[in-house]
Amino acid sequence: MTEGYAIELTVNGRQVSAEVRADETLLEFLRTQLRIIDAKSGCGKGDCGTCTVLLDGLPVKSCIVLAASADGKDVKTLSGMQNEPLVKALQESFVTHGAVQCGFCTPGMILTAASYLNEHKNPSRDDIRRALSGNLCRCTGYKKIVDATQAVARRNE
Amino acid sequence: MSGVIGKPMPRHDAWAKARGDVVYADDFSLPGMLYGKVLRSRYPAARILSIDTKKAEALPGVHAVLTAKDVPNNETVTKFGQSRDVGSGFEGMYRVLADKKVRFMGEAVALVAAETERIAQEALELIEVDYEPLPGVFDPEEAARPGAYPVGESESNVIARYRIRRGDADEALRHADVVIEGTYRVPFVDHAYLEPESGVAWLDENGVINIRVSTQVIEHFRGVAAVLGVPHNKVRIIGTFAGGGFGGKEDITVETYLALLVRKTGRPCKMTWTREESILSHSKRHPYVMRYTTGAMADGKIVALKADLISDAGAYVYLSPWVLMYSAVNATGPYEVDNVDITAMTVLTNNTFTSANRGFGAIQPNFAYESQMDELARRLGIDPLEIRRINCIKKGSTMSTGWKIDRYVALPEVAERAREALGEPTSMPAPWKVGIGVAVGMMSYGRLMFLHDTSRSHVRVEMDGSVTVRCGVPDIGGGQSSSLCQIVAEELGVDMSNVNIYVSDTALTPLAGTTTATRQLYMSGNATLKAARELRGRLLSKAAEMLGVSSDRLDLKEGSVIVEGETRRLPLVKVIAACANEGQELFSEAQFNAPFCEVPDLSDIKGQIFPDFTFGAHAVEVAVDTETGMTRVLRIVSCYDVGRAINPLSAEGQLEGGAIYCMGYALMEEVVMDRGITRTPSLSEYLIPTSADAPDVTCIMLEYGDGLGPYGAKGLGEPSCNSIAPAITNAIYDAVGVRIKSLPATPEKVLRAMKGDL
Amino acid sequence: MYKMRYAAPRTLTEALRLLGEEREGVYVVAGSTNVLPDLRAKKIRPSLLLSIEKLGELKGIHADGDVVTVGALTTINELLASRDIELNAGILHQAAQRFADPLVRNRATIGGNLANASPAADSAVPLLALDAVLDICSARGEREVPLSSFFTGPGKTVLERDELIRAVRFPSDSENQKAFIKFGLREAMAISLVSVGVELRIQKDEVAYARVAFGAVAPTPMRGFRTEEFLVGKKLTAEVLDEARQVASREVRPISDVRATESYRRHISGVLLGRAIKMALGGGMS
Repeated sequence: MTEGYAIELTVNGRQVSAEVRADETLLEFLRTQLRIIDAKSGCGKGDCGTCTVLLDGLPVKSCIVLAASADGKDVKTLSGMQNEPLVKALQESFVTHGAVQCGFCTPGMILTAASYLNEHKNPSRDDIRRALSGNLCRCTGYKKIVDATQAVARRNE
Repeated sequence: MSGVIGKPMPRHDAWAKARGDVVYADDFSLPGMLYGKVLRSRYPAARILSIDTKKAEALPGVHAVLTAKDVPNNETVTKFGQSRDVGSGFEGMYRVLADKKVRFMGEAVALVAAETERIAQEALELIEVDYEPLPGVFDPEEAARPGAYPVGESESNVIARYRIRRGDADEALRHADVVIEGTYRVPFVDHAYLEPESGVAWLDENGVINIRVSTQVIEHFRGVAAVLGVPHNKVRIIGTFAGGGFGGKEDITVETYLALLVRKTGRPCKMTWTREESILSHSKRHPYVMRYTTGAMADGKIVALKADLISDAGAYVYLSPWVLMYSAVNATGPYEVDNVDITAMTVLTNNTFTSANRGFGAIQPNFAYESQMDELARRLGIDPLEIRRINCIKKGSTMSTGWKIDRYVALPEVAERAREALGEPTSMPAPWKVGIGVAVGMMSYGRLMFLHDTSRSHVRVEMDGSVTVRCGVPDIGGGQSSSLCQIVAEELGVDMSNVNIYVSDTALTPLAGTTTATRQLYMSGNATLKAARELRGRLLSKAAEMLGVSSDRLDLKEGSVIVEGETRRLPLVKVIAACANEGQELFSEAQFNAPFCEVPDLSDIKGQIFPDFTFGAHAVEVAVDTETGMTRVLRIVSCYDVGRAINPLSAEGQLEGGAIYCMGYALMEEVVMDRGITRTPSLSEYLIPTSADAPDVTCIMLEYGDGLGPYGAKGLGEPSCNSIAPAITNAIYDAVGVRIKSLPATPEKVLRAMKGDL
Repeated sequence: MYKMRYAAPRTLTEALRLLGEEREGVYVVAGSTNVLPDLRAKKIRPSLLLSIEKLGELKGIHADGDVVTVGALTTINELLASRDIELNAGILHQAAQRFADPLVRNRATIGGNLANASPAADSAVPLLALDAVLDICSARGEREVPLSSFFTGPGKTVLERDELIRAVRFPSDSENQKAFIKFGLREAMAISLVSVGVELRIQKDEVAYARVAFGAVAPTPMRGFRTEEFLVGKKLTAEVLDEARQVASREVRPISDVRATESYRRHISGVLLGRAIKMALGGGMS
């Protein structure tokens, strides 16, 4: 009975083989085994969204995903998406709109926004607010985050 | 001048944060690093009979298990960065690790360092602590009575009492046409920054313990050294970009624990608290009971105000006396009242300790006095704005302590502008009822003057015309360091991208004091401005010599020296080279001192104890569901006299963020303590606003330029969250006619106020 | 040191075999949105985490004729994206919109939400109102259990240790009028304080058929049998609605906790029932 469970997956475009504990979270795996630090740990139980990553293209809270269940899947964190035009546009928009304060929620927020804007071309402010509602921010009051996201959506029209 | 002041500028750190490149405290690791964990008390009040650590020590992979007996100086006093000793009464005892009595649930009892986090966790479970549970006391009024359960060993539960008197309040109340009485209560709240407390420490080749930590106060290196019994220069604290602070990272969090574990093991060590640990055991905002009586004449003029404030300090003193001092001085609000009697008391209980939280004792009485003002207006049939026109202080007014305000006061203008911008009420169908509320607020920026606050900053021009700034300012996300870059760019006529700043390192950056008390732009902004201007003067006089003109005709712009009325330009690098050739100093380090005063007589506080105030107002529109009591905030307008917006994007960010931060205070946030036990242990129970809860905040910034900060700026960080809570409860009153006197205004509370028994 | 294993079988047969063999200590995992918080809080200490994520047999939404079948592994966002669900089970669609938050909805599955048996489970309430039936399988065979008799207590169901939920089935009847309302303490990431689902059929101005379900007001998500009984045969006048609210308030069995008191939850149950009925009948309340 070994504790390790072998997984193979793609992380930020790189093939990775690793052993994980049965109860290891995807977040813990990314941060401690792969030293990918742009996914943050804020609550450990799916309440804050700072650990957001894309799992097979869908934004998920990696602190409540088992690392083992990422076997065979594609994982992307913000640092693996720096060349995606939509991500770049959002980053620039967050910067110029002042949507970044302490920055701890920012990687997750941008990933969620990017994945939402990929699917929705013409969102209202309320649509954006609902789309981002799984990612907490304690600094900005959200207005500038919504502004920044909406500005990119408009550019895509 | 190159004119970057007053322009919306992307912050210098924004790109790194947007790319996810910033290495926050927990993101950092070192080879051979151990993981530290804290064993926390399971009881709010108990006597520790014995601790057996043998099993934990025997667990493979465990390198240290420490209890109180292993701490060189386990009993110490809480400082928060001040270098001036202001004596007992303000600086209370706390224990690094619990000894004798446990005073709150979650108090640290033992420390472990192990090869992995999991081993450390397992070791905690192997430590056997024998507790004798004690009754404890959980209500500050009960704790203040003679014979109450003593939270500590010998000291009284009452930590501090203050009094402010002016005129004769009782006599004036007897002659008042209207007297409004009310008791107001505010709860424990958590800062809920998204980054939990974290740090990594290591021993370097000089025997110095280095602690890289998420903190608002790097000056805690002195406190850590005192606990260890080592010289101050053997502890170095490096502050990281903090993932939020809001006052919760003002007291020591992981620093001392890390230092003890590194000292014991000789290995680098990381400690990161879980969210549950954070909620359980870091400081909370003080709950208060506030009994107010306001007397006014029929024309609306307030003639008397009495207030009795009691705050729950929790299990240790920490910053409670300071917070209470803010409350006492702010108790009358920005109103000129001739007859005042304020009594204030803070009391130890066996609840989680309370300390700084954005608003620091100013926002609790703000809820009370702005509720009273609204009620007074309603009772007299006077418009809420008019009652403020009649009573608000202005330049030249005298405060309750006798301090004559000598700077511009944008009251009631901020309230009028906010209300005007809100416009007409929205119409909503039943069961919703819409209401509008207004509240004003004042809060100081800069520390209490008897702390004799100072800050330092260092500016250096490089040979290629780029600029390096070193300043020990902890950056907690408010743009603290970026605004310093902007000031330097302005003064030296270089692009922001040409200014590089190093912050928050007790060994290598000049100490700038704490990122607390809304003081960094004011203090370190002025220190940086002073350093930059000195350097500018030196460069311009050299340039004047080189150009053969008087230096008062010269300016620095876009990397060049320009001559007034001429097209001639002298590249800055040539001036720098000339200075360097002559051996002139290409740097300047400056210190800025705030105005000082002495510690006032606490039984009769008199005079000026704050450098200045920031004044602001919120106007809000709410809709209340009359069948469920649910309140939705539809719109918020925040209007502040910001003095001068150095970076309007950052200033707006404070106003917007502050409004939503305390919208949570008004409506949903409460750390529920049930006889010392936290019933809201995670972010599933402790709810803060999501993007779907937060309306857009409209910001109106007035720039009267009469602040004490650089270019006339005032501080905004804490003042920005003042007055939103009473604005919301006043709006609830406007909507459904009930006055909520206890926060948060949950749906159930509002509905019960409307309907009585359900 | 306490150890835990993980297995992710690729076939249902293999999964059921493991489940049958392990029995004690096995914990079934799908989206893991509940399992990980429970592990963290040490509420569970399984010896085997059995991931059923790879079981194709448990996936997919099928609407054929009178019945809609939703595979247990269907995520909440897949429910939201399904035209079949929107058309045939709008009430489930509405509940999915208010479920946790957009990210959790990418992982949380309908089977997991039901098996977890939280009294506040947001998918259970609409499914109770839809008269859903669960297809349950084990190595011993298959059985079906009406959702209304599935839950036995907080975190407890009639599922045997060797059993899995394979799918949820409910009649597709777009004639009936339905509504779901969730009342939480914030707009997203909120546990329901009370949730209500109703399904009604009005014939000749009278209620001919009624299904009422409540969440978070009893040890399990519950059917409001007494409220249903009260409604059937009645004309929905203002007085009747008022009385129905009272019946609902009395029928629910909430507790007081840190979020609200029992009496408030009773009151809200009645209010939401009234609103859900109006909404179902096109009153346009929200």
